[in-house]
Amino acid sequence: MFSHTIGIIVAIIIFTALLGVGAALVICCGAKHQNERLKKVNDCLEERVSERTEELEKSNAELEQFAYVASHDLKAPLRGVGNLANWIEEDVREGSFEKLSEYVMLMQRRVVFMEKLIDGLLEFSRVGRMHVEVEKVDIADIIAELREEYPEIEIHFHRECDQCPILVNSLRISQIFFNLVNNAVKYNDKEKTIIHISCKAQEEYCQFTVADNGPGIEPKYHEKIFQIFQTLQSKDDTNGTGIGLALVKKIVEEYDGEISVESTEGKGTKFIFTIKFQPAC
Amino acid sequence: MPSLIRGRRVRPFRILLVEDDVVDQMTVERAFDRAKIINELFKAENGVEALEYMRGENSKEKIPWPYIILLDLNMPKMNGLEFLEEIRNDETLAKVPVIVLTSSIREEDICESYKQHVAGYISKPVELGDFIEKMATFGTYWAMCESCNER
Repeated sequence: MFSHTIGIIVAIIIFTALLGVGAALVICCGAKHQNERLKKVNDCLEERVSERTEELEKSNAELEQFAYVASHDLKAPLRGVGNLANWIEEDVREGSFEKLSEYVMLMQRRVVFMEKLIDGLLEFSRVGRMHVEVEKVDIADIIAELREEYPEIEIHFHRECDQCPILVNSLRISQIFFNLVNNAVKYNDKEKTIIHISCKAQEEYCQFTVADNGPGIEPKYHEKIFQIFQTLQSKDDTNGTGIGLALVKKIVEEYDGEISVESTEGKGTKFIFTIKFQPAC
Repeated sequence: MPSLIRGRRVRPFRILLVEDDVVDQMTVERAFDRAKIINELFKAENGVEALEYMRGENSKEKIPWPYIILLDLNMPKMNGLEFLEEIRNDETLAKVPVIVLTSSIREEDICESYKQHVAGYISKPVELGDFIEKMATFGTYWAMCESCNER
């Protein structure tokens, strides 16, 4: 009986000890596991912070560059106005009046140009900054608007996607088409401007093309044209700000899309861009 | 003082002005006229056009050798720095002195220009008296060089 009790006591002690060890192991492992998890979460956060910092630094650098280019391009017409004003004053003082009306005309043109530049800059900076509403947009409506705005040109629309309207911001998508068509009209060198617009659905993307019968663009300029303030002709000749295509590219990229151009000199120009969208039906 | 300024020697000062802005072009023209420097000013709107005039390409008539190229940096198609690289890589064209005339005061632009051995860097807006003096100095020595049949 005595050995029985001792046996039971020993068993209890061993059992408790085992429990203790077991518990200790569990707590230890658990703690270790917790530590590991904490460390992982910490690393993950660190990575995200450094990613965000990198993005922010990049964004700041872009902003600085943009501010420099913008201020530089705004100063140019302003300097012109200053010069012209000085010359008008000098000439009037010296009694020579032949060039006055030319000087005044150049001044007025530069003032108008500066306004265009400022409006364009504002528009450009707005893309992506505000969360814009999306709505059901039927491309056919935009084509109709284009035909109304440019009655003197031919616009052909080839639809290879569903009749369903798509869900995008209507202003932004209009801006893309209007800028491309405006350029096509501005630089066209034929008797009649003819534009072909097509739309094709590709899973989550809609691919659009806008092709014209204009003078074409040499391949060596195909990247340059999308840079902001870059024009292929002097701004005095075309009054172009060089913002249009940069704006189009920015909008396309906001919708996770891409834009490219197919063109050679003398063979017209075709812009191809994709937009990721949610089909509305 | 160089005889070119007094206008006695009627050898016109030949300049190739590479500049896309019409009013900036007029600034240079006006500067020369008011200083009474007899000049022959050739204008190109961008680097591509300037090269065509210097080489007589693309149905443009080859211009006589300029004494100086006045070069803007910001131009469409081919900007100033790209143009500089082109002519510096061309044996015959590399000899013409180039003065950069630009609104940019960025260090990178200045450094890059001097790397391409420009003779000077003038920033817009141009201080006219200074500008004319620089032009006159260059013109005189280059003209002397031309008269010695040195090319």
